[in-house]
Amino acid sequence: MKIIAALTLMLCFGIKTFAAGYGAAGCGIGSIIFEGKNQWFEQGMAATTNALFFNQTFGITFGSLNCDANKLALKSDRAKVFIAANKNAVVNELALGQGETVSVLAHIYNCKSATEFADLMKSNYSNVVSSRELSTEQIVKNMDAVLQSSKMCQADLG
Amino acid sequence: MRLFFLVFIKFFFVVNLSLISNALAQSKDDDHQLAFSKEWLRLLYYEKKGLNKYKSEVFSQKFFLKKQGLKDPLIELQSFIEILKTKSDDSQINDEHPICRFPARFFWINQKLKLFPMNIFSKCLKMNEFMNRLQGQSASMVFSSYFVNNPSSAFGHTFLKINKDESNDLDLLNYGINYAATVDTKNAFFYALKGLLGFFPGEFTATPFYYKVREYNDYESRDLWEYQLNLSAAEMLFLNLHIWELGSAWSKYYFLDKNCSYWAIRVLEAIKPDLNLADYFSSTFVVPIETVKSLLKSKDLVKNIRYRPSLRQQLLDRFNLLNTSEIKTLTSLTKDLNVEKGINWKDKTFDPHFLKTLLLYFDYTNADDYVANEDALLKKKQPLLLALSQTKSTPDPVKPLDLKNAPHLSHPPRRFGLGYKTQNFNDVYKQGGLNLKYKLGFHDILDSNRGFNPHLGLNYLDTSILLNERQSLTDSSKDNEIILNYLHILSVESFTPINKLESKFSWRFKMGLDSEQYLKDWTKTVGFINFDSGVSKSLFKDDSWLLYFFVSNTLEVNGRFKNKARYGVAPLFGFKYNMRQDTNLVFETKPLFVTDFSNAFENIIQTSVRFQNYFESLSSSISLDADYLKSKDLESTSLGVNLNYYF
Repeated sequence: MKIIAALTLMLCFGIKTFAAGYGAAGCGIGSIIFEGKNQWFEQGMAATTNALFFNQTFGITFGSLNCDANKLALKSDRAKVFIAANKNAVVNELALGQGETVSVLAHIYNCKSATEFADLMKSNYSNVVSSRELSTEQIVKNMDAVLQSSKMCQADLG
Repeated sequence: MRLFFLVFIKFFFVVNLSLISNALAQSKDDDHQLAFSKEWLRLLYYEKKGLNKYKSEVFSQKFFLKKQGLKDPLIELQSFIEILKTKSDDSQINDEHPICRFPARFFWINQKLKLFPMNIFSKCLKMNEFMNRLQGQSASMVFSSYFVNNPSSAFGHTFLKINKDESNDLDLLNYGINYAATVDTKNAFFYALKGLLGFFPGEFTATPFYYKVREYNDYESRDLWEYQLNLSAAEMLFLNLHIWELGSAWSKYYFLDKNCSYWAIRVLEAIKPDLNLADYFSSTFVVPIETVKSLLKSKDLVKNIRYRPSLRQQLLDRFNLLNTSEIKTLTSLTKDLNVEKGINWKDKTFDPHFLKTLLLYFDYTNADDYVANEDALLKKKQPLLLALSQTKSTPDPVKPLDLKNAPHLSHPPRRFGLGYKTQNFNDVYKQGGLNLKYKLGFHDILDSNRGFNPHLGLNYLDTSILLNERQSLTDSSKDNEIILNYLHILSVESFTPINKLESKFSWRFKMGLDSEQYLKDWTKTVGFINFDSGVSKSLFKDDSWLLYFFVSNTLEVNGRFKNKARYGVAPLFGFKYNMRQDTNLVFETKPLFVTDFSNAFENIIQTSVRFQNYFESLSSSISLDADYLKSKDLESTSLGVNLNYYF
């Protein structure tokens, strides 16, 4: 019955809770590791209630709290935020050596060639995504190390 | 920063050239003209509420300078101008100043009055920071489509997308500007009630597009259709500025009309006042895809269409390339896909395309679990990923965009039908007459599949009224009667054909009023709720034949029944034959066992055949219906033909 009631009226009900919940509850560096024990919508509910009800004086809010890979100064921080929100796709595409998320990471790391970056990550996949430690922090640390040792995209590693 | 200012400077030039050093003297008449201009009324979302009366659809005070501003465009404009004129000392201008809070309004007024040079915006630090993130060079409307396994997405959803650039590579870093209700209840009843009555506040948020892709494409397996808009540099600048203002714009969210799609359209109309998009869709029932169609009806507004297939669609596309033995291997491998059991990937040489399909299959079947258990799932599929990383990179075959089934080509939601229906009861009575039909929306499985999921139906207020002439076949007496043939308040059909990919239940639900033919006095109407569930299967790869077996349950209420109600249960067999994209045939039969909650049982056999052909160019369809019913006392046949117009 619940499903029927919901569906009767669900005319493009934009689920704003998802963005805050998905892979990024309580975002911000240090807390980007998602502690997902609840359903995503519960996470989302909790995250959005903090920002509720007209406390915005001016300007638009970001549905993702601060989880915005466009914003941060340090490249590795931007990479962390981006990976935390897109982890599954990132890991897949690192292994495949191609894909949109890999292009974005190449962009974040200021690499001239996204293809070279993708090839490097693919050939070092087992070093970048280690079966033992799959945290976002670790993936970024490994990625930084691979980039440094290959001397690729080192223009101004922030 | 750079990009934003590029647009900015381009425009700046035009403005500066026309900058006259002396501010024009602004008379009261001029104020009046500006305040009631389309531009100002739209920027602040004023609606006309009678002669010389206005009210903004935004209810939050922070969207206005004056309290009266909610209802008075003139006072709001005059206060804005007054502040601009009195606080002309630049040092007083900071983030809290109306110039920075309402940059689009300021920009527009300043174009008319030339009070400030445009570089005054450099004082707005927060706004500038936002602009540097947004860097909107172009905009799109994104339609997130329907998904058969998630009926809550039955209508789809739209949001604006602001693009830094239109290259595909970095599309994920663009922003979605989404209007949504802020929900404060999980109770389904209050949720529905509050949504209908406008008790949820709605607001705009800016979200990196990658969240949208993960949410819709991956998690909910919904296709995303992007309609890129043809906006000038000046209009884009204005849109960037206006989006910043929208942060303080809270309005009442109404599920049916003032919803996400309505607001996305309103924003476009605000920054481009020559658009009158709302003229193209019904304002009482704002269906997301109808608002998308309004963009396409507006001349030269849509310049390009892009498509992002859902995870499910990507998988289906690949799945169709596998042979039966590969599919068998694939499903068995997914089961064993974990570190402990391990598959000796090195021993076997798998085709990279096969491994990619396996990866998609694993992700799709575990999609529900990804938010909560991502790391565990990543661990589980790590051997597969390691194997994939050893393969040579193979680019995916580029699939050309197929617009044949694009959602904007779907039939309009409302339907009016005019036809004739004849019925025969036990060779004792015959009746026939005009059949008037009306449906508020949206789509049933007999309607043209074009732009829809062929297995999903959702209908509101489907009505049929018969203007009957009844004739006795025994004594040839005649009488006339108007009968409510049926009024189906809501019906939902969700078929998930069982295939190698998934085996889920199909189901459907219907409630409303029916004229009851089982009774001897057949003009009585009964209230009913019907729920059928079971399995469905496509016979061929092209989905043209869909067979289904259901257990059908119906509860009917009418004062004439012994216990005011009766219940019928039946096995049901049916099939849908999709002859062409616009032509469908549905056959169903069920032997009902009916009890009125006393000891008596009745057996009723119901069989029906329905056919419909849609003529896209006429936005019309022709439908034919034949029904046969047999119970202990009654045998009836009916035939109907209808012409339907969709609007």
